[in-house]
Amino acid sequence: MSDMRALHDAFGELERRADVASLGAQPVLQQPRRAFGLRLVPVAATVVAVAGLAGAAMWFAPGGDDGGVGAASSGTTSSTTIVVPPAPGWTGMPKTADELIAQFKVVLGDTATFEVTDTGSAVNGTVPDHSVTNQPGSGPDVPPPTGATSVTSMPNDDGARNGAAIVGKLTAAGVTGGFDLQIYAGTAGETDTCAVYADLGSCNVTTLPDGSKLMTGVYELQVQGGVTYHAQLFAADGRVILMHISNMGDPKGAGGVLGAQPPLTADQLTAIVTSNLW
Amino acid sequence: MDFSDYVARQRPALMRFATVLTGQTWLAEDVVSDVLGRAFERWDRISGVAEPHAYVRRMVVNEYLSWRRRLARTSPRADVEPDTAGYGDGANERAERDEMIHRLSRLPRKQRAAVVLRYYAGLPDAEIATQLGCRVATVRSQIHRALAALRIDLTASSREYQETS
Repeated sequence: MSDMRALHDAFGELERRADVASLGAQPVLQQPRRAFGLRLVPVAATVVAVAGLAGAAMWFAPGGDDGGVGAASSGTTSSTTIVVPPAPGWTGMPKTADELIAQFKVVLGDTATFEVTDTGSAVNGTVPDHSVTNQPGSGPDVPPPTGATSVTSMPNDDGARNGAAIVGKLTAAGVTGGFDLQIYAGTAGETDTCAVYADLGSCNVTTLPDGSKLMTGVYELQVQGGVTYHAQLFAADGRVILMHISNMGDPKGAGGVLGAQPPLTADQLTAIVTSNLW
Repeated sequence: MDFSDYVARQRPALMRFATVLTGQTWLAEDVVSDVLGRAFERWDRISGVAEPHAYVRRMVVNEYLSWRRRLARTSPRADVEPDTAGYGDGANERAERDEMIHRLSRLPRKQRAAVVLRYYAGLPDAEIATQLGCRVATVRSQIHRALAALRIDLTASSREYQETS
């Protein structure tokens, strides 16, 4: 066991590292002011897929209408806290961006196109030998990497989570906007709350019939007229599916305003994340 | 205080806080830069509050906890090397310190934030609860679990940490 001295020593060392890093950093005022945005390594190839909303389980947030978000009104937030149940020995979890792209095509169907410009996933790391594999019937078997094989995976805060993420532009009915999509296995006890998004806009948490929790939000971006819709499913089986769609080139607020509204409505976004085709 | 003065005075402290909070200097730089970008646009309002630095520091915590941070870099920049020279009683303490940093990095974000806000920033539990959007009892529960994960024995002798401002 350690005492608080070890924690304080850790704080001191982290402070020292901050000071060292700051010596090499340019003062913020000498850099162009940047909107908060993704800083991802672009992939060499892009994928264009024709997809659409078809065959998905269409579930809409209570009170939702086209373009609305559940019962949210501007500026309202929910203080409901979501607690992620223990994640199962995961089956079918996409472990690469390509797998996620393939699944996304299935969920979307044939009414929208999307282009992936970044795999916004994670630190390359070694998947342990006991990493999950698909069970029979759930899709193509993917042999688990072994030993020192590196794969791109979504890190958990404890480095154990798996999943994948993609970022790009989506076009539906002639309207284009930035999107990001990620799926990962939640950590048991992980919580999330609308309170952390209170300075962005409206946010609501709803319990679905199967016990899953759905967080939805509408966030005003820094750029005039920029808006991002947020839908995040904390599934009863421990998966977390998170998607943003924006009228800007990037849901985080970069890339310019491309249209008056995002290419998908908030209800369509909700239907995607809650689809039973994942 | 105008924005440039604030940044000149407080950016180092924000970087230290963000590095303790995130455990990684490159992530701390991202968080602080994004937060200062947003603070710049709202500076008229922020500069009028009682404690602008506390406000901006809350923005750092929110940024760390928010969905934006769930998309990590594909290839993070190399972090600063651990300090290995001239340290206390030597290798054992360095190893214990580095192991503690490793355990901190493995805490869920909320637990980590609660520990940092209490034991680094010295905030009372009620203020931590407001910051994290939960009840005081939840803060205490989070910290209790975090200390267990960090394998810290509170009955052992300890000293108060003084955050470097």
